[in-house]
Amino acid sequence: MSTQTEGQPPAEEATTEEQSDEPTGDRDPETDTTTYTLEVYRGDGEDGELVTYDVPIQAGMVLLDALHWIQANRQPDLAVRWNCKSGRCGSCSMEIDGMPSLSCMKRMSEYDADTPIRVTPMRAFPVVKDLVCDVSWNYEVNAEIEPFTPAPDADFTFYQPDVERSREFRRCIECFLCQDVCHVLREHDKKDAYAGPRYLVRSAGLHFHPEDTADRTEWMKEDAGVGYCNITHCCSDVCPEDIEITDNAIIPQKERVVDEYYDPLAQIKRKLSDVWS
Amino acid sequence: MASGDEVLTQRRFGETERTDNWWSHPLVVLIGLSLFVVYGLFRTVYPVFVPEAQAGIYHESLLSPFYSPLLFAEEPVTHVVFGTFPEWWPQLVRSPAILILWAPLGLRLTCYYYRKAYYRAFFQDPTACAVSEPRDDYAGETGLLRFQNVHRYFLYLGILFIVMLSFEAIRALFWNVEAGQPFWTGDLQVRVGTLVLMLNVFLLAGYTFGCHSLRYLIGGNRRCFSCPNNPHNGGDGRAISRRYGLWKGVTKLNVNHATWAWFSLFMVAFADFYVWMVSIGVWPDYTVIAF
Repeated sequence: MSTQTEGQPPAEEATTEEQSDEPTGDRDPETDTTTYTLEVYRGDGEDGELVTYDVPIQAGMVLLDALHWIQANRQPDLAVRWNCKSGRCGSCSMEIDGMPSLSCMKRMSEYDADTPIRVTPMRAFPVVKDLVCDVSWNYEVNAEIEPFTPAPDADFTFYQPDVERSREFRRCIECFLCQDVCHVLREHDKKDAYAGPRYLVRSAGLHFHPEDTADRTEWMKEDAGVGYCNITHCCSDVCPEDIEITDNAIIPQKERVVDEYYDPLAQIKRKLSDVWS
Repeated sequence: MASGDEVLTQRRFGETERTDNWWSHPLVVLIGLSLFVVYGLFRTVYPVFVPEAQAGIYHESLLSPFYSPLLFAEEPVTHVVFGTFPEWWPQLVRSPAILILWAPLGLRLTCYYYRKAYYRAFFQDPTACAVSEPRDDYAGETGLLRFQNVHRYFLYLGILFIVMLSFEAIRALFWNVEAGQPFWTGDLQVRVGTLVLMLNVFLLAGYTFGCHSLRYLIGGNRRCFSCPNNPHNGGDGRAISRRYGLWKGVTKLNVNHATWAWFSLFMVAFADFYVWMVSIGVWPDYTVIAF
């Protein structure tokens, strides 16, 4: 592990924030900063190491600011994806002290200045460089999902509760934190068998659109592998959009698979209604 | 420079970069569920080794939820449904609890909340989010654990149990019933035991009616709550289906399913313990209101 030393923060980072955003630890009265230590992964999937940086932190700064300070003052080639810096674009996903998080939404005041903060790339995906991962597998899965399929004579008149139900799933910003924390992908690397929480959310968003007519149940069971989910709720825990992924997206789709494949009463009911109709 | 794989891959069981107390929640779950399992097993087999009158199965109008409904008993007490145990019944399984507890056990074992709880606490699959697991192989619920898909059938049984436990809670309002007379001819009294059984039913109902499967079956399986009512679709023009109200009701309970699960689990054990203690004279069953 190599070490970089402390320096001055860029002038534009100096902001005045409310008391709760004050960094913890001893402050330098001259620069109005507190020094935090970041251990940042540097390298690619082949070779890499954790490099230590001492970063001066001012009130209101988030972890992405600290990474930008390192880029500006120590390592211009530090690779980190980011865009909106407000938790809307889902670009700056990484692991902070081992938990998948958006670095722009993590205030430095949440951390203890006396303890190094470890910043690593998402572990479920191949590392391209430093904190940037290759998440292209996700888009390949996305392409397999049958798109929104309304009936030719669909009437798009429906009420607010129906709008709200599918809207929850459309809040997804595709940060892939849920994919990263899901142990089926992260620990067991079942990318060939399991689509992951993000795509069960997308499928739920399509299915619960009032005018969608496509039946994705077989895809859900055979290709998306919904049975691999053992409902540990980790995906819901890390979702920055607070989507109830497990309760509202995955479990209803597991139940739909039960309807279709495992519930003899539901099968008899379906057959009887076919006969009646 | 080390290999990236070496730095980033978590291999050993429990390996993580998390710095919080990630182990505390699964530990509490492990202890809580283990205590319940030990107590439940003990109380299930207790009547095999202890004379029925001292086993804490019932006390006058109170029937412990561990033995409710009382399908067979050693004595022809008022609570019993079918009568005394047949002569041929093996002594080793001569406990009324063995006959019925598989149903609520099945409901909890296949419950979506408890699955999360025991996969994490007992099987470390995973112990906590972003913490390394002990096993490399993983089939989730695609292999043997496909049996979890039977949950909705245990739900149907669970609802039946709520009806039967409600009946026993109502029976616990009537005391000093003369032999051979219907229970409602007894004195109407609210005793502490009555309140214990009623609270037990209330919590069990909150848990059962907040079930994820029920939430799906009662309305969550509908793609649209308002479309069938649209005049365009031949509906009556009502804004929203009645199913929506039911679904919202179950959803309100479902949001706190884990809380209901724990409180009802604790309460069912306490209700059993209360009846046991009262039946052997350790605790008095105070009368709260006598009509």
